[in-house]
Amino acid sequence: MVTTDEKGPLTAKKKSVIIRSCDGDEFLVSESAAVLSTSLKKILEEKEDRLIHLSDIDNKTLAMVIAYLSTHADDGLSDDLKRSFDQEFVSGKEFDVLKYLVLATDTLQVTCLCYTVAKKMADIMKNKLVEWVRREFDIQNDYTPEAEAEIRRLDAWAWDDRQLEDD
Amino acid sequence: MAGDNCLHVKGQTCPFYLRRCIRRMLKTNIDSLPDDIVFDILVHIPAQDIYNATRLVCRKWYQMILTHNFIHVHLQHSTCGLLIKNWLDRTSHPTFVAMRQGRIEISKLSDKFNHLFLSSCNGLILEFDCLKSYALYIANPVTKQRSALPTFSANTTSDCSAIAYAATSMEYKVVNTCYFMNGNTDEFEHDCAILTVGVDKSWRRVNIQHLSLTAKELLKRTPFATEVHSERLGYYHYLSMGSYLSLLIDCSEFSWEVWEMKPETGEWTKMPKIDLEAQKCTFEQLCCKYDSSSSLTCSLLPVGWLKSKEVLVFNVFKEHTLPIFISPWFCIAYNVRTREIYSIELDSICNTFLVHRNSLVWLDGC
Repeated sequence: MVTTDEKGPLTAKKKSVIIRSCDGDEFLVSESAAVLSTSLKKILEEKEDRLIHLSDIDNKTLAMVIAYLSTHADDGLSDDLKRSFDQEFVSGKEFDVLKYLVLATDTLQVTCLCYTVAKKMADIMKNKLVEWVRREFDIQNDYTPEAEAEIRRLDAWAWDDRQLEDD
Repeated sequence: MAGDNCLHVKGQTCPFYLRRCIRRMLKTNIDSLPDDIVFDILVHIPAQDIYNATRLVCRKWYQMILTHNFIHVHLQHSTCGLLIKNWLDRTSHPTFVAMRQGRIEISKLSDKFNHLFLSSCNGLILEFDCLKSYALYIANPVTKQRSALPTFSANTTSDCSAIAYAATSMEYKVVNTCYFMNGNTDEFEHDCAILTVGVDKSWRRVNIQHLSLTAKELLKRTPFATEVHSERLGYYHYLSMGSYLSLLIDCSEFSWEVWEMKPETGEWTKMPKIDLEAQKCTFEQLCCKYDSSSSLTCSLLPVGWLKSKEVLVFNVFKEHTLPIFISPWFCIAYNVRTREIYSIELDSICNTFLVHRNSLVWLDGC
């Protein structure tokens, strides 16, 4: 009970890992940045591998995620700076790019970035027409024209008469 | 850059493949995002947009949006703001003011509201119809649902009512307080009643006989609920933002002592004072800009936080109109941190302010 391991955690040495995208590009990432992704952390705990191949993330998306991870792993940056980095990070990005990002962050389990990207996508979707949303999400309209008209027709005040008195 | 050339790293011979293999990522376009990601995106879309557009995208989305889980998570992400309603022109469209990404956003509700707004909780508004024997209604302005409540009493008004959510029983409750002259004894009496929405057929009287006189005095006021509007008790202004309550005490016409209550313990903590004496001219200039006939003197009444502990909204009154509350076509938002002042244009001079959030909630346990 009294004796403790004198060596302490393995944080003293700055280790790095290599992450390979589906199109073969490799990125050297510090371990402290990589473990911010829950998926990568699990892989690193399970295996001694220093090369992680991500078969489903392309190099452009991976580069973005790694830039995010490296910034957030930097102890020298204040939380305020990291927050403004997050805002900057998603601003001006096209919807399509954000789609790949949100998928990648979901796969890699980078919760904060997934949240930020999802929120940004929702912001872009605001005030957009149904047709725009269908096109961007590649969704087929499965409503019959009658069904769609019916929902729109119901777009009027509905009285819930559970509590209505006799009038 | 070829993948197999990284020989300087030990043990790299077995590349790790993540379980989810999304081959379509290799194509130029993604067919469709997985449902859980779509859920995570849609919960951030304002209720109004969900109702007007998102639910019409496809049947799958429509079904998802209707689930209790979605409505609940969406409510957690919704932004609290102030609903401003013209109480003179009963057919006007209320204005909703909220902060989104550091900016003040102003939107109009798409419908006219004949009733007065009394209180709001989780997006449900308690309305009062003074023309129709003081009837009470609960309405969701986004999903356009409305339900009438049992009449409280034929001879007393029920405008001192508030709606609150009881999380443990997942029910909405309406509390009503009143103060009236008893015809038999010629004495003023207090009364308090409660109604569980969708459960009670009639109001249940709350026994208040044991209360002290001071406590009974409070029953003259609108009951506090989870999302109270500005409750002015003398020089005390109780303001809320969601579950958090703050108190502003008038020090002078343009300065306030600020207190906040910890929701867990009920303990009050003193916050930095708000002093706008120096900005007095700015308000007076604004008054002139919006209404050239206005006198130079004006006063401010805190009505609600747009962002907790950061952006506070004041209703402006022209001095000579007191006690008839007439604001000169604008109200003011003040950032306590940056000391910036914004003016918010209003379409009326007689306004009520209500803390509100737009949601998809209705009275079926969401």
